[in-house]
Amino acid sequence: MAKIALTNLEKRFGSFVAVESLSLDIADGEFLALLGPSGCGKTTILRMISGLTDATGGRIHFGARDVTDLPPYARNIGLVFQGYALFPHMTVAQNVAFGLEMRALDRGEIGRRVQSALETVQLTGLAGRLPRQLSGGQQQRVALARAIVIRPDALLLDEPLSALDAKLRQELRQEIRRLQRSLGITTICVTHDQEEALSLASRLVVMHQGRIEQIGTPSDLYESPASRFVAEFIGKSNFLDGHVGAPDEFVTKSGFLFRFQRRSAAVGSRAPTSVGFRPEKIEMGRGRNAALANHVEGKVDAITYLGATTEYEVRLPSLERLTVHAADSSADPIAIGDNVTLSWSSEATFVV
Amino acid sequence: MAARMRALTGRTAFLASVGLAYLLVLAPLIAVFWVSFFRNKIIAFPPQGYTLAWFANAWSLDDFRNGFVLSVEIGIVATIGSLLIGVPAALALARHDFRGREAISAALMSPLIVPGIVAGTAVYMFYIEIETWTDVQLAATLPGLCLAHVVLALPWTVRLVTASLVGVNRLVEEAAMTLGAGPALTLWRVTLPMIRPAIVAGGLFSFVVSFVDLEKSLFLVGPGRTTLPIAIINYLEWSIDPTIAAVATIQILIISAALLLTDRFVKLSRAF
Repeated sequence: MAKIALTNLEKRFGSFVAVESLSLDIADGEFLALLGPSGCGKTTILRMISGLTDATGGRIHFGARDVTDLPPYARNIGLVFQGYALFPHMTVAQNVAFGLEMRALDRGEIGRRVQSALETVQLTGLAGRLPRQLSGGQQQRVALARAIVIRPDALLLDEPLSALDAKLRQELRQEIRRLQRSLGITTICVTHDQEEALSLASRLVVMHQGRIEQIGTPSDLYESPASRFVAEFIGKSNFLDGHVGAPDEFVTKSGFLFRFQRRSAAVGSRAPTSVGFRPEKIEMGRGRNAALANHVEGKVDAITYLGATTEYEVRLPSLERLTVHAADSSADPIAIGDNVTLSWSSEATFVV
Repeated sequence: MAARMRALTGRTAFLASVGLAYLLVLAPLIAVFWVSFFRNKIIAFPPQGYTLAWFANAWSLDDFRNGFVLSVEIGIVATIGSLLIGVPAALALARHDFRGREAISAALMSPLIVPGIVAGTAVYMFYIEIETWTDVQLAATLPGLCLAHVVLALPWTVRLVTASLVGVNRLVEEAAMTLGAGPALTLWRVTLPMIRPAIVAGGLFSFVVSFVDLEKSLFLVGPGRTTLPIAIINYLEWSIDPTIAAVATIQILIISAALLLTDRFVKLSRAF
């Protein structure tokens, strides 16, 4: 277990910059998620931390130890690969024991630790099976056991749940979190699945084109996204273009005035060009809710039933469209063609 | 009804052509096997009765016995040589991109393309050239013969092992590295066990192609030294009694056993 520090880390493939001068500290015992679309450089970062890919610039420290120039087998990391990459010719127990054998521990110690790792992931009965005789979820648990049994300085997860179906994913997500907390192991998880990242990690790093877009807690990223990319990547958002008028007032091109409170520091010197608000933060009714700061009137264009909520497409007089998520009110149901007023608070409004 | 008739006709035609293909392949083997038990002094139909005497006769002839032993010995050397060179070559070809990679690959595969009789002539002339330049004799010596057989067997090992390596998931090897295994340990504990079927198949194939080779060996055996296929050809020059069928039967059985064994380890169709 150790703090991991990445300093000006960089990876170039010829003239293509996969990761651009990236600095990031991961605290001892922290669960960090690297989130981004495919090709954003997140897997390259994980591979550089594990040593499977050489960095072309910058340093990597595990605690006080500079591991930048160490090969993967000298770093002491546990990596869970996408697709698991179990040893197909070894049993479950042999797979888990492999890393311990490489550390030349004595047989008794290896046996005890394999046993306890298999208990941790609830696979004790399957020690003698070959990987191909296991289900996807079981293979995933073997991969986890194999990675944690060596007591690594860092646990690295590469899209750990992408190959599993939805129900199993949920189950394993909780198991990974429980495991991570009880072991207190510094963990970095790479994923393109925002739900996975939000539910697993205590801190998220959103990546885009080899650069960090934003770092923050799940609610930071959701409530005050630093860029339009982050706002669109995590959850759904309405956006209207325009410019900032007064310090807390945004003027859209179509002439609406909206009060906002959220303005991420990460926007920096660049002047915000859009105002955003989440579909579920909007209150929709026949009249305006005077307690809320922002209002706009429109006509319902489309209604999609989503189960827990209903999604309404509302067309504004300016022909701009907004999406609203609201519980369907059975007393006075809103129908297509109805005129409605949308209201939302200034706290729920951000500019990017 | 008409559709069912058509389906039935199609199926019958399919089975008939499959049967015909098998017959074409197997008929000569079955004929040889059958003839080896004939009592006739000259291979002719119909059989005048059956006997095992030809098998005993074959074993009593020095040429066949020594030829058999020599062929087995050379086969083993060819197998070992082909694996020692072929497996590392396949690893390099499958895993690394370097200048001349295609050329080396083509050179290793060329014994499959060049007709045996041409290759035999070429190797013989090459050995003579070497001898005139260095005074080292290779033509008509056992090491020279073994060397030629190693070359003959090499394409099979290279092809089978390369095909198998292409199918190996690199992430599995990377997993071994992250768990603390250096390159050598990763190769020994993970890569080689994963391609073991192809190594076994390559070895057995090497043995078989060496064991049945006639054309190259014809040029390279020394005086008083014959391999089994050469002993068969020599014997056929003077007599056509069923002894030759008995020898061929034994040879066919050994090769069949090797191929069946190989197929247990790796589906041969996968390599081509």
